[in-house]
Amino acid sequence: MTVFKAFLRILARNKWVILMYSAILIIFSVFSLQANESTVTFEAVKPDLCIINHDAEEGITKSLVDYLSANNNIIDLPADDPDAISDALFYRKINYLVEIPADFRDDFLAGRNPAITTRSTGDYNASLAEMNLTRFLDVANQYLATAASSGTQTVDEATLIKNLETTLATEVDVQLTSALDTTSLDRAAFYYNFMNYPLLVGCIYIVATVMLSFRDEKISRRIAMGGVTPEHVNRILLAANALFALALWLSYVLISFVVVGPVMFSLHGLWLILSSFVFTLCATALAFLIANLLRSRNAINGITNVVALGSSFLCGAFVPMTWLPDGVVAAAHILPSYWYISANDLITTLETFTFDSLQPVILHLLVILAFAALFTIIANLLSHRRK
Amino acid sequence: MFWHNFKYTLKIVLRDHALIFWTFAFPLILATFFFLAFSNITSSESLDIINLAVVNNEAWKDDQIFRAALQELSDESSDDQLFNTKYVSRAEAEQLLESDEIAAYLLLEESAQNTQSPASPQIPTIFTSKSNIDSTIVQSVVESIAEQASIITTVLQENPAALKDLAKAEKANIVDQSSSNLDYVMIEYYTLIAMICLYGGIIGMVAVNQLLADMSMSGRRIAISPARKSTLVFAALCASYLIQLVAVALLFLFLIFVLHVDFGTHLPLIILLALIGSLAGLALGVLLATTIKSTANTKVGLILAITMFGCFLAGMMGITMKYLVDTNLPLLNRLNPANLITDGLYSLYYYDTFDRYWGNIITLVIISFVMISISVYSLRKEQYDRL
Repeated sequence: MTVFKAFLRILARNKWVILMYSAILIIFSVFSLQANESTVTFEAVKPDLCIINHDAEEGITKSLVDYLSANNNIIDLPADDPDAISDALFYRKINYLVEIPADFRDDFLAGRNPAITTRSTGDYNASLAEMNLTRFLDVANQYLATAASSGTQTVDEATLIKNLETTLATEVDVQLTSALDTTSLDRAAFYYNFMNYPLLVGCIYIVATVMLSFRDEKISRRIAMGGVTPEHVNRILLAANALFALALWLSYVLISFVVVGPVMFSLHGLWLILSSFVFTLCATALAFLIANLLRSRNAINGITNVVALGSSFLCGAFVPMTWLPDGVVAAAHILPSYWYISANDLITTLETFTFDSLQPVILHLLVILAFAALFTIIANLLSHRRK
Repeated sequence: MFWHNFKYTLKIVLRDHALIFWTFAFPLILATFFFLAFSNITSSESLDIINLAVVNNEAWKDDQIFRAALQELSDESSDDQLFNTKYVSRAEAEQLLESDEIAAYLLLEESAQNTQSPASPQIPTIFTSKSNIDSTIVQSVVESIAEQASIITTVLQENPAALKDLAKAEKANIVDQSSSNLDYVMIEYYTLIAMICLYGGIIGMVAVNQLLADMSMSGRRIAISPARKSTLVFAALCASYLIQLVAVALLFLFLIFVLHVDFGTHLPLIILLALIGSLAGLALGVLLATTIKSTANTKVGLILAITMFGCFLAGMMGITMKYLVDTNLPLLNRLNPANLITDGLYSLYYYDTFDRYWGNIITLVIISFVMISISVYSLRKEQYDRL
């Protein structure tokens, strides 16, 4: 009991570290998981777009503005502040800027094909916005060409707009073949992948701090003199550390029900919880190994950050794994976090839960357990040698 | 006296392994992580060739417009290739979609009642598994192909003679004025520079602590010695500034020559920013060392907390944060040294003008001056009742 009390006292002294990293998990999850409507029907992606219109919003110009507004998210920015627009592009507040020149309507109808100035971020969304704009202008130009040939001197703008709008209203049916609620599942995957970081920091930092406190020369001499055997002390410490790791895991799981939402009550959620449990065991084992390798308490902070940040960056806890360079992903195979995060990614794309479909997930979890066993064996060897 | 103290400050600081780790090694490690995790982001966000399948049924073989258009968009020798198209049976298409090898597949069906559109009597349907950007682009392209049929129908109804004029239509006249320096990952590296400049404050703090009677034994000895305190403090600060600049220079060299980070072309201005940024860090460290009466650990914790929070606001954990603060709470980031350094580097990278850069420099100088003035004031004529 004395040992356990000492453990609690060390834990209480370091509670701020745990609270801070937990807060990071919550803030980031809430921040990056801003509720998208979860749907099971197809929703077209809408790029963020800003229109600066120097022309009067009438006739063909109004059609253009209406068409862009229907197919994009319109973001209003101060037209007279070029810095605000530049910043918005750089920080991806908007993907695309469309500047309609003065006299666009007159020039267009006169067949002068006036230029539209654009600025883009060069990403997928910007390409889509450019496709939308090109589509409007191409169709409008085709109707203009046929209208001009009809012999009349002035182009009948009303007919042109009517035809243009009828054509642009052409819709192609898109059917979703998967009934998976991908939006909610992506949220769940993000949260559980990100959890890799605070879980590693929490386990390594606390376990290492506790173990090194007990390894202090004066303390270990006092324990050696006392009535309890060092093995007994070690067993209690092991249990206390494991208990702490499980409590940390359990609180993150509970938080996930609030942050991620109802999808956690599905089979997907259950498997994510199971996979994070297996990873918690591995993180604790890793923490023991690191605690055995360390000599000085000054190094705890550094090693914790390097291990936790490294595993998180290289294994896709912060940036989705598909965005990482191939070489990094290949190298990440030697880290348990890689197997944990790819297990999560596998789980969230499962359509059915059969033994066959679950096999890859189970394999990943077994690899994590193998890592845990390996870490425990090495840690024991090291601690025996030290004695 | 100056050189004596200068030399010993260097020795004291360089022997503090934890301090050297945080100011020299940690930023390099973090930069490497950023590089490994983020180097692919920008390229994975730009439009890639989309894998698509087409159900090779009778309706498809009959449809001239769709076949021609898709063939053109799937042409591997063309720069405008958008799709990598497979022509397969319906069952194969479903299989490909399920295994995530294609983004979507297209199915054309003969329509029973759609006789108004002689050009293309087939109705296209897109099948996809996710509502994402790829499937939206497929939808957009298929719609614009279907629009061609709609245009031909409309022209045939209204003015069949004008059909030949369609080919004469002008193409969309879009003038792209995008900046080429749009890589927002740069901000991550810039915040790293900001972080190391401010971390330098810890060096200044360690150096000044040696001279404070309430912080160290050497401080007490110095307090009763006849040496001029201003000379001692000045020597300590010069030594820590020197070490700080070496750390900053090392990070710059690593970023530029190993990770190939783009800092723009204005090297002297970048060096000036680094010098003044480091000065601000030093001033912050000295301010906290002299005004906060607490243990050395608390003071270091405070500098770390202020630096990390400042970097968080400057976009280190996601550039959206910087944009949010810049637009909603501009004053906060105008006083945040981490953001001033980041923003200074950003304005050299992205802007053609220097107003914003000089604004950042001047604010940094003023903030540093204020912090140093407060430190000098509180360092003068210190008296202790007891120690």
